[in-house]
Parts: sequence; C-alpha cells; structure tokens
Amino acid sequence: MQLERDRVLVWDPFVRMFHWSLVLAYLLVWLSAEEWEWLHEQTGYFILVLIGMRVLWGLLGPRHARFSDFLHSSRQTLDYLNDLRSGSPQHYLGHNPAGGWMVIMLLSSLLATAASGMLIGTDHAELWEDLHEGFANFTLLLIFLHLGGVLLSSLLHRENLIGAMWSGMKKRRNADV
Amino acid sequence: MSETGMTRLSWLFIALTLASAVALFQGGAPAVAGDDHDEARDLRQAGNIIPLSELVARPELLGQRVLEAELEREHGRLVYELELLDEAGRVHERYYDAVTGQPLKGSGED
Repeated sequence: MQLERDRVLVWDPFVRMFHWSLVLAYLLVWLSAEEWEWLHEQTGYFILVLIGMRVLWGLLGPRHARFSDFLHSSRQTLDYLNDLRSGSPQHYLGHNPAGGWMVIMLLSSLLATAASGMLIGTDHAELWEDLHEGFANFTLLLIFLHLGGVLLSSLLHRENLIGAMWSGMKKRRNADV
Repeated sequence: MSETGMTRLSWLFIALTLASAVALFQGGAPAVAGDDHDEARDLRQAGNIIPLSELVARPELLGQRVLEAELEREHGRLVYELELLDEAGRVHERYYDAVTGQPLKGSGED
C-alpha cells in the first residue's frame, strides 16, 4: 500500500508549463504552416524562446529538470533499452535514459526546424524550405516515438505519466534511482 | 538553493516565458497579411506587381503545368512561388520577384 508521503513533486511548475506550452505551440505552428504566415512565424519564435528557457533551466533548475539528472552514456542507454525489451526496466523517478535522449533529440530537432525556417527568404530559399519541412516532419516522428515511449513506460510500471506531467507528482518506489 | 527558492525561480521562468508570448502575439496579425487573394488582387490592380498570367506565359515556362501558384512576402519582398510539372513529369519550384518579374535564386534546382 502506497502512503501519501510517497507522492513526491518530480516536475516543477516551469517544466510542466514548458511541456504543455510546447505541445500547444507545435500544434499551432503545424496547423498555421503555409496558411497564416504571421501566426506561423510568431509561434516559431515562441518555440525558440521555450527552447532557450528550457536549456537554461536544464543547467540551473531543480534536480529532475537538469540535464545532468537524465543524460546517460550510450552504454547505459543501450542497457536500459535491453532491459526494456526483457520487460523489466529500472524505474526512474525522473526521465529514464531513453526519455532523456528523447528530450535532447526533440529540442535539437525543433531548433533545427526553427533555424532553417528563419533562413527561408535568404538565398537558396528552396534548400532551406526543404530542410525546414524535413526537420518539421522528423520532429513529428519523434513526437510519435515519445508518445509510444510514454505509453509503454506507463503500462510497464503501472503509473500515469501523462497525469504526472500535469500534476508534477509521482509515486516513489523502493528501488528508484 | 532551497526548495522554496527553486520554486520561486520556477515561477519567474514561467513569468518570463509568458511575457515573451505576450510580446510576440500582441496586436494580432498585421493588416497587410489579410486575405491572400484580396491582397494579390489589390496589388495587381494598383500595378505594383506583374500579373500571374504574364508570368506563366513566359517562354521558359511553356509546356509546363502550373500545379500551385503562391504570392508570398519573404522578408519584405513580394515573391511568386510556382510549383510546376514539366513535360518529363517532374515537379519543381520556381521563384520570381513579383515586382520586377526576375527569376530568383533557388529557382529551377530540384
């Protein structure tokens, strides 16, 4: 039986606001593409602000918001993925190693999408436009992988990770790292 | 840093992010970015841009089907963006300055 005191705040208010703002902004930027240029561009800049703030927060935020908390070596990450395949992975209170790398890939892919988008209208417009579309699609692919990972981890550990990203609270386990 | 200090900093980051959102979205879309078709028609009637019909009648575009034509504002410059299907069945894009009619870089490469 889990006691109430085992529920701990894992995701601080900024991390949660960042996450759900980014979800909303990506939806907006995707839907406004090629339709509402002004909205598309302003939302793109807002996503850049979100990324900048998150990177800063990853350096000076609380424990589970920090890159140092969720960045693991490729060796550790591969081990984690192997454990995942066997169906009994280690439970992490913060991001697990695969989730940690997903954070980095999503941030990088969004950054590349925004940067290439800002370069459309300079020389080689077609090249930047192709890259912009390519990175936008790659980001969408990452989002689906992220959703799959969240679903899989929620099922394996019998916990609601989506709810945790909303409330910030997770249940601590005895063998947590 | 103490836990309450960290929570305060977290809210400060939220406030800064929201302030940037207000700065980016305040005032709404500029009036010139209204309906594309209306704007294109107005610009053409005022003689500010060359008509699309003149552009697609150019010798280098003969025999090509126009799949999509867009008038876009790229960094203050009005640009026609044409998506074309050539006789060999290849799709490619061409860009033209909508005021001077000059082909722009990035044109024709596929």
